[in-house]
Amino acid sequence: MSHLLPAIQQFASLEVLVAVIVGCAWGTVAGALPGMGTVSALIVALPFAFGLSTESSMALFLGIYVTSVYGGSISAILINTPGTPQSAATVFDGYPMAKAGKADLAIGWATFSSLVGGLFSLVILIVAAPALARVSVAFGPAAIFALILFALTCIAWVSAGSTIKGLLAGMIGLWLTTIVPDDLTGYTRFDFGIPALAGGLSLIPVLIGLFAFSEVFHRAAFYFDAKPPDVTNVGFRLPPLSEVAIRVPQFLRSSIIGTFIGILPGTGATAATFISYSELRRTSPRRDNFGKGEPDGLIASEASNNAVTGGALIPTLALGIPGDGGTVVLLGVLTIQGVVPGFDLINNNPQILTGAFLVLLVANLLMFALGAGGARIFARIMAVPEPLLMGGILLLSLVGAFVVRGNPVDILVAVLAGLAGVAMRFAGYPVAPVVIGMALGGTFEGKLRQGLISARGDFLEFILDPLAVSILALAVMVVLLPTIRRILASGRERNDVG
Amino acid sequence: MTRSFEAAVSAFLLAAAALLFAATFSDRFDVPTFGGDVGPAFAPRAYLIVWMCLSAISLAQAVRVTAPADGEAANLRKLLPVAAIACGTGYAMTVIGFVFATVPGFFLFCWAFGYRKPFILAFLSVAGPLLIWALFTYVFELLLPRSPWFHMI
Repeated sequence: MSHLLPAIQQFASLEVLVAVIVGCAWGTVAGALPGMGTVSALIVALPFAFGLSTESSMALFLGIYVTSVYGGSISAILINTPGTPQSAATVFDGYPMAKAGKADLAIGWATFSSLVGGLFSLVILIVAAPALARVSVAFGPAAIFALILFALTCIAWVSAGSTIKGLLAGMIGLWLTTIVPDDLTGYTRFDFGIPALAGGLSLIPVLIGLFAFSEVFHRAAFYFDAKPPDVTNVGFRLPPLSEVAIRVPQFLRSSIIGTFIGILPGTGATAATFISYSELRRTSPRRDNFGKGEPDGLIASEASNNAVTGGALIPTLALGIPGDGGTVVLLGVLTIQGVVPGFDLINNNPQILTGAFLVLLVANLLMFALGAGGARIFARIMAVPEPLLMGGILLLSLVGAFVVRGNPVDILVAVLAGLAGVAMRFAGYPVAPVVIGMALGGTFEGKLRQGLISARGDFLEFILDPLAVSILALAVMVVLLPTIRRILASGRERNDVG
Repeated sequence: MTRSFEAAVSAFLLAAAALLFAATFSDRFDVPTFGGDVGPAFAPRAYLIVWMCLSAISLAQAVRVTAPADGEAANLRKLLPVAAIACGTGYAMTVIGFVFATVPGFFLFCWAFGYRKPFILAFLSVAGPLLIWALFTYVFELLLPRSPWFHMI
């Protein structure tokens, strides 16, 4: 609380207000546009991080991060196409409501549920992030090494497509961080005699290529000139208070599921949405109406996917460990602004962290206001021709790749990463583990070598830290869990037959 | 996409990992270490060994599965020109600057993507890049790649 006043003083400016409003508006629009997604929405705004102050950058990007998840619900309800994968479950009950002539009410439920989920996870973030960051001081090199290994294992294990491909993508990301002069010896690795590679690969151009360019190429490969969706008669109607009151347990359950899953690296909002939806379909007193336009279905999807935003920020801000592509971009923005997440953020820049909480609060409230006042406008924006939208993404992505270091080579790196990304997507490889591996690889190798030097080269002595052993045990459990489940299931089947 | 494409990507990744692994035994990585440090070759070798194993498994899976891959076929006749124009625009930016590369680049890109309203597109192709250039040059004071012919553009 002691940091609240300095944070308000630091963040209360017209520039920050404009940034958060622009961020929220862009996030909602980008979320509503099928195919854009949270990461693309953040990437398109990346070039602006270089021209804005730390406070304004945080306002812009946190605004986009929070609202892009919500924006996906608008297209899910109106045109039966989720704007983001996180809103896929919103289609199940949102579209039937719209078809029944209650699109305004469906948007009202989705907006209110998103607000509840977002605020719930914000409270958890405010309590948990500073506490976890303070505890993180006790993490030695071995514990951080183990934590990153655990995070990468989780990410690969739950990534879309096969686990092997997810692990492989993460490993490629880790290797890419070795294209850099070695910190301890100063020797350059994997530059292949190309002077441009001597300084190493920057994360941002690779991120832009793998997400933005590959998305553009992928959409080109599957583009067909469709008629713009009919989005007339759109409005906003809040659900009656009595209807909200009887659904408090559903709001709470979905928000808890979203926040918890958000904390786990790699799982993300899409998984949270489906888990929450199936959980509410199992437990809701109105479960028979699921799939027919039941508000509980909208609560399940929208409260949980917005609750993920606060949950995912806990490891990102407290430990500097991102859980998905979106938090990698946020971490990149913090790095651009010279803000180091973790204990340093709590200890040396507490007003920045408190300011981030305030921005998130404002962003959630703005999301509600934008949903209430601008649903009609956002719906119309969905009719923007896709080629123009993709052309805009191309221009801003090229700018974003260049302004990171002012190095023209980064433009070429981004474009090549885009080609690699689309090839990976066609072959069923997830791209998120690559950038997460890149974001964590430097620390991963650094902590390993730092720890081994402390242990005089003895790996056993290095790893036998109680905290590290516990985290590694968790990682092993994550890897073995599906196998154990399979063995148990086959044992049960045998018993049933017997 | 087809299973053969999956197999080709896995085979490429396996070959790339093998070549990179071999490169870690070159003189460049032969660096003396001290005080328990494992040296600069340790981490890349470890990553590349895991990479090779995983890509070999992935290749085996792609070769073994005979069922056709799910999903509709990609429209390569649209993808290839779009990707070529994007790559060309990116490269041209490094040579002739942002504005001169992106004005034709944006037009060709959107046209190749399927947009067929030439007057609107021509207007946007000039206005869009110029707006971005002005925003970064005058508001954010960040210079975008410049042409060899003019001082600012």
